[in-house]
Formats: sequence, C-alpha cells, structure tokens
Amino acid sequence: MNREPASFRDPAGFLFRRAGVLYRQVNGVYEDDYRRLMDSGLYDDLVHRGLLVEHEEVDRELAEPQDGAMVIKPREIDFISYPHEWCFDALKDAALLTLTAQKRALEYDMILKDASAYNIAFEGTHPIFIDTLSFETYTEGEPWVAYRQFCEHFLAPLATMSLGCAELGRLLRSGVDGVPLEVASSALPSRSWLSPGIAIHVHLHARGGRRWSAPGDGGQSGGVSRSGLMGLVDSLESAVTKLTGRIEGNWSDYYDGDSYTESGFEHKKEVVADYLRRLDPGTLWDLGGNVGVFSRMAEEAGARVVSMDADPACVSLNYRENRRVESGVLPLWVDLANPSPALGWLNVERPALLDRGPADVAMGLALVHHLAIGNNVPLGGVADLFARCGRDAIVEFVPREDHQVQGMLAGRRDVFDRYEVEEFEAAFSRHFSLEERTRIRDSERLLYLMRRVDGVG
Amino acid sequence: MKLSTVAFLTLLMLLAMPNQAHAYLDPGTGSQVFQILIAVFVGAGFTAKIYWKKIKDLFRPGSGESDE
Repeated sequence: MNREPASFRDPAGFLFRRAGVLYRQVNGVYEDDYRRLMDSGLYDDLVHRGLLVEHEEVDRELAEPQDGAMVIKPREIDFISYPHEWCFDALKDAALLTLTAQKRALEYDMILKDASAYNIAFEGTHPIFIDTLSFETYTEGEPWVAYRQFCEHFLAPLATMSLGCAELGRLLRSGVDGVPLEVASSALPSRSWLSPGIAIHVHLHARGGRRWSAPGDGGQSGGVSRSGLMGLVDSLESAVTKLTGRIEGNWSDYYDGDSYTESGFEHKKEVVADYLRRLDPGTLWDLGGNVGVFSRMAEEAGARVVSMDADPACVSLNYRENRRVESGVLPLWVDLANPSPALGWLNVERPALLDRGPADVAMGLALVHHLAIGNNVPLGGVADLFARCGRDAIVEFVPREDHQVQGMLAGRRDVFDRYEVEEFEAAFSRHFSLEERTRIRDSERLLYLMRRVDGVG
Repeated sequence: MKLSTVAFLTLLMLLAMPNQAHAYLDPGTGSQVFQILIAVFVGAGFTAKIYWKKIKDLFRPGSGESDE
C-alpha cells in the first residue's frame, strides 16, 4: 500500500495505491458528508454533466483502519498535469468548472471546502473535478472558507496572465498554492483597477486580508447569507469570464513561411504518418508541438497525446483548435530546456514532468535546433532528453544550411561546429537504433524513425 | 431592495456564527472579514440581478436562460 504523495492535507480521506490500482479511503469524519453527496443527487448531477470523476464503492481493506470508514475506487485519469503547465484558456476553464461545481453543490445544500486548482485534471481539453471529498454540508451563515484559495489559485494568476503578460503564469510554479494575492496585486498593471472584479477580489482582498489578520482572532462576529454567498460566486464568475487570453504575434504564418514548400510539407506529413503507423504508440509526447498539427495527427493514429510547447500563445491556439475539432490531445505549456520541477512537500508532492513519463514515443519535429543552437545544449544532451521522454522516437534534424538555422546563427558567433548530421546521428545512436531516415522533399531537413535499443543509455 | 430584506440580512450577518468543524483549509482571518464585508454588497447586487432577469422574462417569455 502506497499513499499518494500529494494526498495528505484533508482529514476526510486520502488516495492510495494497492497493487498499482488507485483507491480513495473515506474516513469516518467525512461519512455523513459522503452520504449526503451520494444520496442528495449532487453526485449524479455532477457526474452526468461530466464535471466530477465517477467512482465505485468497493469492498476493500482500509489502508488506515483507525480513521477509515470505507474505500472507493475513482476512475483514474491517464496523465496528471498541473496548473503551472496549463495555458490561460485551460486555467480559465478550470476556474469556471470550480465555480459551476460550487453553484451546483449549493442547490443540494453542499459547498466546496477547498478551491484548489489541483482538484482538477484535464482529459484532452476537458477539465474534470477529481477530488470527490471536496464537497461538504453547507451551513447557512458560514462564510466560504475557500474564497481566498479560489482567488489565489485561479483569479490572481488569470488576471496576471491576461492583464499583465502571459509569462507571469510562471509564478504558479514557485509554489503549490496558487499565486499569493499580494504578489499578484503588485505584478498587475494599474489599469487592472478598472476591472471591478479584479479591484475587489485581488487588490482590495490583498490589502484587506493583510490588514485584518490578527493572530488569535478566532471568532468572527458575522457571517455570510446564502444570497451573499451566491452573489460572491456570481461576482467571481463574472470576473473570470471577462478575462481573455491574448494571442500575441503572428502564428498563422508559421507553416506558410520559408521552412517548407507546399509539396515539402505534404511529404513531411506523409512520412510522419508512416512512422506513426510503424511505431504504433499507445502514448506519445509531442515535444515542441507548436499549434498541434502533428499532435492531432498522432492522436488520429490512435495515440494518447500530450503536446508541449514553450510559447504560451501556441499552447492556447493548440487548446482552442483541439476544442473546436474535439481532439483528445492535451496541450501543455512546457519549456523543454527547463521542464516542470518537482514541487511541494519533500519535493514529491507534485512530481517533475520528466518523472511522469516516459511515453511510448517522443516526437520532436523542428525542435532539435532550438535546443542545440537556441539553448546551447550539446546534441548528446538533446538525445538524453528524448530518451527520458519516450521509449522510441520520431525526430527531425534541421541542418545548418537550412534557412531557419542560418537565421539563428546570423548576428552571433557560430560556436556550433559540432552541429552536423554525423554528430547528431552519433549522439542519438547512444540510445536508439536509427531505423529510417528520409529527406523531406524540397529541403535538406531529415526525418528519423528511431527505436530504443535495450540496455543502452 | 426592500427594507425588511436589508434588516433581515443585517440580522443574519450579526447573529450567524461560522462553524467550520470539517474544513481543513485555513481561510485566512483577514479574508474572512473581507468576505463578510463585501458579501452584503455582492449579495444585494446578485439578488437585484435575479429579480431584474425575472422581470425581463415576464416581458419576453421564452428567452430562456441556459443553466450550466
């Protein structure tokens, strides 16, 4: 029996694994709330709408008998990603899901006891609530205990990404508890005061929160009525809805530029499709997936795909397109030169990205030169990254004669005399056997199909 | 908003004592006070919004709202 490393703060219960299967222990203190969740109709309502992950009650031995009442088995999510890896649109959808869950709960006289962004997982571009024990009985008059947490996990980061700049989303990665209100308030531009929702729930909340905190100030003389609470939720929902993720730059031309001719691009698609057929991956990580054209191709070939890119605008465009065409690809905001680190308690609470793999195939098209030249990573290091991310690989090598690489080398000292095909092949041969190499029509670019050589690397 | 509603809300606010037996989260004392303060205003605004929608529906029946 192994307790899940992140599941320890809530006394109502916790997740654990036994023989690889994920279970949740429900503790005695939560039993009444659990029964209300199940019997009132709230569980059925949420599951029917696809908002909450379904579970079954199972007859299994308790993991910790002294506190436990029963064991349930939730449906396990394929791949867990974290708020600091989500694009703006994804975080916004997760925020709105939380508030919808809250509104639904109130109709059944229940309420969310926490509003952590980690309560939500993504399946493709669909967020789903995974913490079944978050719902507790509502007592009229009680303030919402999770109000501050909602603001720090959702509203504050969304506001900074929308009104400040997208890169401010990285603040989510400096902790495991959202972005502190004071930090968001100081990072936001002054025009954010013009938005009433932000002015109240971030700026004034930050100041009021600090001013009125007094240690030992246990009893509040006052409360919040049901209509006050509903007004609060409605106000937060308006504030979140009004924020939009700006797409900066010109991405529609990415594939129309000098990189490929039309016939060359078609050829690339054919070759990638062929390699995917031959490798037949169950899971695939598209490294540097850009707006997701090839990620969606891999998904259509039958893989469960996670698409990663360092540009937040690309990830958002990828997310929106996946929504539009109902693709199951999960787009994540990841800088492969600095992927998500391990965070939280003992640095095991929220594992590093590279520890949540590997996938069956790591696909890196038009990526290697960004790492090798753009980030000064030796080709051996790039090969090591692919070996960490996937068992097999599909890799595109863009040689120095290519227009894009020439552009990267212009105006700087060329210290990349090792950036040649021979070095590339030698580096990757340390982990893989290079089964196939195809030159893309009308270019010098090379596409490789690589199979892992066991016992190497 | 009716005077009796205001009086009722004020009374509720003064009398209600929060009881968070099962909530493990630290709400932050300052945040709680802040929430209690703003709840009266956002609550009044929300109630007004609901009544306004009801009035609009009277004049335009069938312009149903989508409930998530």
